[in-house]
Amino acid sequence: MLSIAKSIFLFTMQEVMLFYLRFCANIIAKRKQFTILSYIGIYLYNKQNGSNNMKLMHRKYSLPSMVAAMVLSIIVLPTAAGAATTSTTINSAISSVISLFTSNGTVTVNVTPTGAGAQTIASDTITVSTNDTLGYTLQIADTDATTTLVSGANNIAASSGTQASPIAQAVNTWGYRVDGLGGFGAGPTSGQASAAIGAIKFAGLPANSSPNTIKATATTASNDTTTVWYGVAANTTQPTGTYSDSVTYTATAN
Amino acid sequence: MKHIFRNSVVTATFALLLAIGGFGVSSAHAASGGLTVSPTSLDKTIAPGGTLNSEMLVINQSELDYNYKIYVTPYSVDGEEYKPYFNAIPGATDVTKWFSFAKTQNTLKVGNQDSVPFTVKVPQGTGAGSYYATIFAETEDKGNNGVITRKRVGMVVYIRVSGDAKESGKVASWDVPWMQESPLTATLKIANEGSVHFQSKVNVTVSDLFGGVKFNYERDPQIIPQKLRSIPIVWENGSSFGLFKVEGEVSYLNKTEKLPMKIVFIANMPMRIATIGLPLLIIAGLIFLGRKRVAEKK
Repeated sequence: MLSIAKSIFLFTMQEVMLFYLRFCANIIAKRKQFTILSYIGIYLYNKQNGSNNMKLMHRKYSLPSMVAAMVLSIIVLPTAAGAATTSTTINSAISSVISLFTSNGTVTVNVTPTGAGAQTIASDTITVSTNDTLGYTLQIADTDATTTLVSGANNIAASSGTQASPIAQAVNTWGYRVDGLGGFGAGPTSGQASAAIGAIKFAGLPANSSPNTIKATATTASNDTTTVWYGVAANTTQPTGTYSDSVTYTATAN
Repeated sequence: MKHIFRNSVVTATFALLLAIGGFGVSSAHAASGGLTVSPTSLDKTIAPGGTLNSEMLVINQSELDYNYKIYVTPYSVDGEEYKPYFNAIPGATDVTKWFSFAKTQNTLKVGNQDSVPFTVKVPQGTGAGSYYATIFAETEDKGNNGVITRKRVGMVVYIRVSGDAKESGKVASWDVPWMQESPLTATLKIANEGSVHFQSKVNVTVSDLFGGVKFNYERDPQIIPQKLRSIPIVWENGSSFGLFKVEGEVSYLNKTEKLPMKIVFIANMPMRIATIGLPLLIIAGLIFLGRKRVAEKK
């Protein structure tokens, strides 16, 4: 099929070139030039093509045909000869894949509280790759409906800020932020350990029933990273303990 | 001499311990978790009462062995951007009951892959139309302090239950602002007005005014019934200045629709000012000179 298409293409090209070269050669013919070269051209054409077309053309358009044949003999016909070879089609189906990696299995955000409140900020980097041409969507949510950090009977509430309207952390709350996303602002956020509570904005983790999209792409991705910052702010009224909660990252192709 | 030898041995031992220690630390940092699944979606037609047997691959490309679990959730989309939603919608058919798995958890060693066979059995009497679900592979990291992260990666399963379903769709809009800053962005919206999903084929090319193709966009987005899908076409890292033609076609439901050709002028603000401002400046200058000559003649 491919070789037939190639032959048709080459034949069309040949006809177009002939037409053009006849036109050019007519001008040359009036000056009685290139006669010997033209005869070499027609000889080569007939030898490779084996047709009589050029003889007819020779009678009708002697010099133009010769010039055209000469040029075609040199440029087109070797290619046309190559088109006669058989070809094999190689098919290979590449499956779609998507992968998700994180830099930390557990993000440690320990706080040594102060009376006014201290804040610890730590990050987790999520890396997504996919060969799906429509890209991927990455979502974040608490693993269940309870969005507090829990230590036995005690807990640290999720920030009341949202991804669209995040807020500076209040004491005894925790939250997340992604630089440049929603209302978080550009950042850049830096990690800190038990420092004074800053103005940097955080949102509370949504429950598993209403995840937040933290990245949506529209094409393939190779090691595309998203950094999620977690912040915990506590003052000395917060009972000591090991607080934890589980967060789920979800990646699906679009 | 003995002193030098002893010092050398101590130094070498220390260096060795440091190297081992350093390597250990490095490994601990590199020990990130992650999982890969393939394929990312599956689109199948099943007759009522029929069964589909298929499989999903779970691959461990991370640097740790991990336990994973397999489960299925509903799948729907929200908004024109098709934000995925994995919770049940009240009143909708619970498709997750149609799925069964040969295994729902396993341990996967580094560099290995696991085939997860599953069966979809469509109950008799199920109405013709589209039904969706997502099969998730999920890992959970161990820990009890701070934020413990779970990772899950899903394969979307599009099921068309055969029968008398309505197939209908249209190109709802084709929006290409004539003046833009880089990257060139066009938005195509395709509507599904039927009762079954269909796969569209979008082909858009950006070319210069001489026809030289600069960017080609080819995608096959699924269009879900009674939903409008917005497909952003973005020429990332493309030209930041010039006039370009944007044209293309959309194939869906055995028909092909040509998208009207649009001319786009890409320029950032300084270049816009230069491009539009310069001719205005010349015209203003010519008017000024003309008036000056007229005044001089008088």
